[in-house]
Amino acid sequence: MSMPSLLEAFPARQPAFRRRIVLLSHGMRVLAVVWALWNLVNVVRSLINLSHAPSIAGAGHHGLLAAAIMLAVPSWLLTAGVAWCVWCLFTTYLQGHIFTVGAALWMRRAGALGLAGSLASIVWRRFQILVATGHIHLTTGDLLFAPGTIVVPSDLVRIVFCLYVLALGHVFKSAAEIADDHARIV
Amino acid sequence: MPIVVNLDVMLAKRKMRSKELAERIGITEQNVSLLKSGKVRGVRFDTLARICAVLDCQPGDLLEYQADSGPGA
Repeated sequence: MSMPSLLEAFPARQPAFRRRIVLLSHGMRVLAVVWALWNLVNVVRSLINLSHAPSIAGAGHHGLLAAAIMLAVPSWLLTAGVAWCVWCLFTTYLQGHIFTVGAALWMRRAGALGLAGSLASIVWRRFQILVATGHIHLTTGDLLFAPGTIVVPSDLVRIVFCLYVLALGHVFKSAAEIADDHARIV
Repeated sequence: MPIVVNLDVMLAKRKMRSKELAERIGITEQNVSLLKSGKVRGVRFDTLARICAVLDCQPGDLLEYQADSGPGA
């Protein structure tokens, strides 16, 4: 059911319903931007801390700093991608297209990028821990399989949430396609 | 689609305009236009019944099966 028909179904609730959706959408867009910028500040701060770590600054392993930047930048870009998808999703809602294929696709993109971002942030955090504790001879195997905590419960929550958003996007897309088909029956 | 809608033929026979039919059966003129051109996924039985009542015809006068039209036509 499209937004106009949804509103037509509840005419008495229209103004309040519309106001709530507008407020929620603006709020979510602002939160997405704040979240992305906050992450950027954290990444920059982490890189500055790493550059001062004894294993890099003291031993002159500037290659490690370059590796850190190469890990941190894609990780943040995925975060920015999620924020962009959330922005576009709620912009679509503001335009009144709630249960549409377009909105469902933005939701799916947000879920997929969020999932990739969650995995990237695990590797990025692992890298920081290994460098900060002086394990400077890093390989990809070290990043993923060195002993110690790799995945923490909050990572699992993020992954579950992203999978949920991804699944919801699939469901909404199928529902929107069925609704479109139904609308073509006169 | 091998089902051909002959609504335009029936409208011409009854000398009725699409706008009038739309008003009398309670659907939009745009939907009548889509129905005439066959660009719809289906027709509800109640819509079909109202069209038959207004045009004084049978469903068979409005719909025709053409086997050689092929699935993509």
